[in-house]
Amino acid sequence: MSQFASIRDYFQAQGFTPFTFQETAWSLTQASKHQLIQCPTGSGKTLAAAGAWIDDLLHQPKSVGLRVLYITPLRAMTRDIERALAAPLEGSAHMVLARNGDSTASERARIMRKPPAILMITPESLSVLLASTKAPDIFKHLRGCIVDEWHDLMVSKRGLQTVLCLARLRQYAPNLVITGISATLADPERALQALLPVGETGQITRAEIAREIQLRVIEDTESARIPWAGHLGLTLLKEVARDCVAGETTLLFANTRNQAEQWYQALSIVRADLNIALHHGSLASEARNAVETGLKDGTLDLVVATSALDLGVDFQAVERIIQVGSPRSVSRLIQRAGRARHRPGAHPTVTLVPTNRLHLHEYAALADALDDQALEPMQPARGSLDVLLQHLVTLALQTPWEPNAMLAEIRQVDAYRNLSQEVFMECLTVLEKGSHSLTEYSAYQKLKPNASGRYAVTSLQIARRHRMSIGTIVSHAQVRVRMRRGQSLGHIEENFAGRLRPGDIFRFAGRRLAMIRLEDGDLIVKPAAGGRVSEVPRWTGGRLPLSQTLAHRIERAFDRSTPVSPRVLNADWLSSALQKTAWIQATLSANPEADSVLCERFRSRDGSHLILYPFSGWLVHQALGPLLATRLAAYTPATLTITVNDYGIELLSPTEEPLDLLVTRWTDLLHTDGVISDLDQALNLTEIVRRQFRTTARIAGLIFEGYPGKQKSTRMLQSSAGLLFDVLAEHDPDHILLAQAKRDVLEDEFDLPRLMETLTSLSARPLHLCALKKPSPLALPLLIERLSARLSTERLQDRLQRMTEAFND
Amino acid sequence: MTELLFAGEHFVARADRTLFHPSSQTLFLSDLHLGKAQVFQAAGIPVTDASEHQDLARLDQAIQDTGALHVWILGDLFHQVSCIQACQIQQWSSHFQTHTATAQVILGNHDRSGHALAEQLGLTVCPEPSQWNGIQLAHHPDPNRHAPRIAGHIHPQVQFKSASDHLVYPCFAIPHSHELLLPAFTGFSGGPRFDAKQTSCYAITPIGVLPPGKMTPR
Repeated sequence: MSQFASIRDYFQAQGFTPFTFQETAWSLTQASKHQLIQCPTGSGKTLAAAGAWIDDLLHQPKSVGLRVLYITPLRAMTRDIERALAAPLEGSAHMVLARNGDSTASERARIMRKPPAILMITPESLSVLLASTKAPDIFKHLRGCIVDEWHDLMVSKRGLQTVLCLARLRQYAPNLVITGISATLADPERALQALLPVGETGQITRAEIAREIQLRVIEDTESARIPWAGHLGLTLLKEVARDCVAGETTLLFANTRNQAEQWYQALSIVRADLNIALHHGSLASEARNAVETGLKDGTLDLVVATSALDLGVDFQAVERIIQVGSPRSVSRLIQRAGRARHRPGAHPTVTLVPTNRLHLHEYAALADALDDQALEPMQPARGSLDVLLQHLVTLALQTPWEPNAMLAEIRQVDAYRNLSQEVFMECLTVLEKGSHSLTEYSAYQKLKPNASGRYAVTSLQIARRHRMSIGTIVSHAQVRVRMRRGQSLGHIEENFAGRLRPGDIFRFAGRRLAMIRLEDGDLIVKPAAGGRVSEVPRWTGGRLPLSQTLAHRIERAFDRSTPVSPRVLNADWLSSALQKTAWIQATLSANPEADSVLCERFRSRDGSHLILYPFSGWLVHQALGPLLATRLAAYTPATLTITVNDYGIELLSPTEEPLDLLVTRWTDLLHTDGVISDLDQALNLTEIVRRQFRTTARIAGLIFEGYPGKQKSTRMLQSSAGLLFDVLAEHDPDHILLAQAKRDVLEDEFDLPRLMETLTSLSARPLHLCALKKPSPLALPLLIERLSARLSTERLQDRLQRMTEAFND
Repeated sequence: MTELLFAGEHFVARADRTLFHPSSQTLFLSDLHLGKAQVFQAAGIPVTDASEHQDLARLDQAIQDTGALHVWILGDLFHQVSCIQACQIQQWSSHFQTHTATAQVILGNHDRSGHALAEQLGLTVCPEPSQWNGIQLAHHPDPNRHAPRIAGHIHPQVQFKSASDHLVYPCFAIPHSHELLLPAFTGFSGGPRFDAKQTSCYAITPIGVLPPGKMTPR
């Protein structure tokens, strides 16, 4: 009898043949080897990872307790995966169940009483299970753990929570076999290492489904020109609308929720014959589920979506993928292209809709990167202390723990392998006394060592509150959008809601809505009959920075000798469009080149402008700009207004002098010493860290969002993260949570390591100076940006002065 | 120190979050929330004692600097009465009983069943509202705004904003000619934000108390 006969039977009954990579994965699992399965969504990853376990279960006549954990970051995914896992087990003694934030109390109780053979779970729910006193019993029969979407988890604090949980599971099941599943990654070995316990190794299993992606760029016409700057791209609406066909599903990806709403609105008007739906992260989950179901049934002709649909949502491949604007990264493009239906002999094609002319350069760069198979490198998250503190309390709920054994367990996690005894002791002191500094916290309680030196939770109240707030996902403060009669439409950011006045009309969930009032944290609205949309909703919806992999290649797209990759179907048109832009750029200024840094200068009635083009991406630029300005201030006092985008940095000064100095002192300004202290001074880092502190405070249990339906009982503990930050910063500035928040800001918001690299590489490139009479094509988007993204280096008094000038009008 | 005119009386809005009436040597403040840090600590949230020590030291300093003979505390003296320990009362009372000033308190919503504790601190408990120079003193603002009233309770803050920037500070707010809202005295408090353009607010900033529409401290 051949190996894996039972699961093969199942495949045969379905009319499938297992892929080679699935068989490879099964053999590895059977040999108790860890692995990372790299494969696109919808190509059999679930059964690759679980097949060997299912085959084994099919040989067991009786239930065997909890055998396999399937960790998935998204609740939305569990239903599909649950079905995929349960189907081959149908008729056997084995169950597949899911536990997540949506599970009812009785479902949860059932899992505790009689654990299923395969349990699907989110990282948060796993933490909650590990906090249970019954955890050792539940997990003692565990043999395998599958971590889905590891590429997504890996870079986040949820990933840290996941691997900390794995370390604990290995205490109960020492021979646990770990299987990761990820999309295609630049460095899968590093990703696997981050998932596995320190010192253990595994293999990479690759799905051999390599498909060449083709690109097609929507061309502009005499009547509809692509603008030089802009984010919406509705000028090409007609061309896009013509592309959609009734009866065939088209997926249109936008980058922001705002963009998605506008495209949805516009397409609904010009293609009233189509069945069109809208999908983005702010919509109520029922609305999103309906769209996901429609995608599965194939009843929708066109879905306008944001990246909320990128992850995990499993549905049948669609006929056509359209991307509005730039996907901002190679990986995202590949992921989106993976949604296209595979026809024998045909390549998946993504239609690209430029919203401004510079997007054409991004498209050429995308094609280059695909040719080079250059994916964005992804760094696994480094061990952060807020997640660790939460985990230590979670485990204390299960049973009191001994510090030395605990440190050894934590160091099994790759991200925490270098956690020093000293820092760990500081964490213990924080849990026991509130702070590791000498500041007094007289009534503080959380964990206390008991008589035998084991750390235990001090009160039932603390235990209950901790269970309620386990997790690391921190959304921006959100308010619910609700009709007067009670129907919930979804959520929007609080600060957007706060700017609305009664009567204001805005677009949301594909409707025109008028604000009535804010009530108990809900935004009450009614359908707006007439009237003008007073404000384009600018709720952020995640600004995607351009990846550095792409940014660097854009420089090359300006070099007219580089031909456009043949994977672009209309390469000739694109090539001539690029040449046209490059010609205009060269006439007005110069084209960027790899061995120098383009530096444009011109005067306007606003003052003197100097624009640098390092092409290092927005994250790096938003730190680099203020850094340069602060270092210039050492030579001459100056008031500079700094604007950044993905391509460059604009410095605006009332006088020429500081800008002259930047040119003469160029290399002196780029040293890597004292970058953090200079940034601190440049950016009013404190204010930015204060914003970031919400995440840290929430994870470390400083903010309690309350028991469901019991708002009042927690009123005495209500406080904002900003307030807690102020108190800590003033009275206990060395607190480890403040340090953590600052590190998060420097690494996540400013990408400090890349800033350092950029400084070094820039210092080897001289400035290529160009004096302009008027702004060049490259400069235009920056000049338009200025209104929305000013970075202040002004003194407090000047800021107040400026903000109140309008009062006297 | 900034002059503040309300209901025909001349007050001084002070950077230490108190309101002083020089001609009667009376100091007003509201929302001390004593014991708030400890309530948080008991729930495992690290808010240090230092913030409360600082509040109390600021109170001592304000009384000393103004030479006030009368002190009015307009409610929310305590944060949560049921959590207060005897040793805390002892510690606090040293701040109230060393002064030569007489102190009156109007009990707020957080002070429920705190009558006896307030008296233990040496404070005289007064009804809400109490009359003072033709002005009502109360913890809660009067929804009807029939008569001039000085109140606390809501912890007003003021927000300055432009397209690209914003700043928030605690403030004395006069949303209506009959209503003066005091800032929360404790530094550990947030509150609703008034728009500097729309409400008359005296912002308590690091560069001093800024009167409405003026950006330079007097």
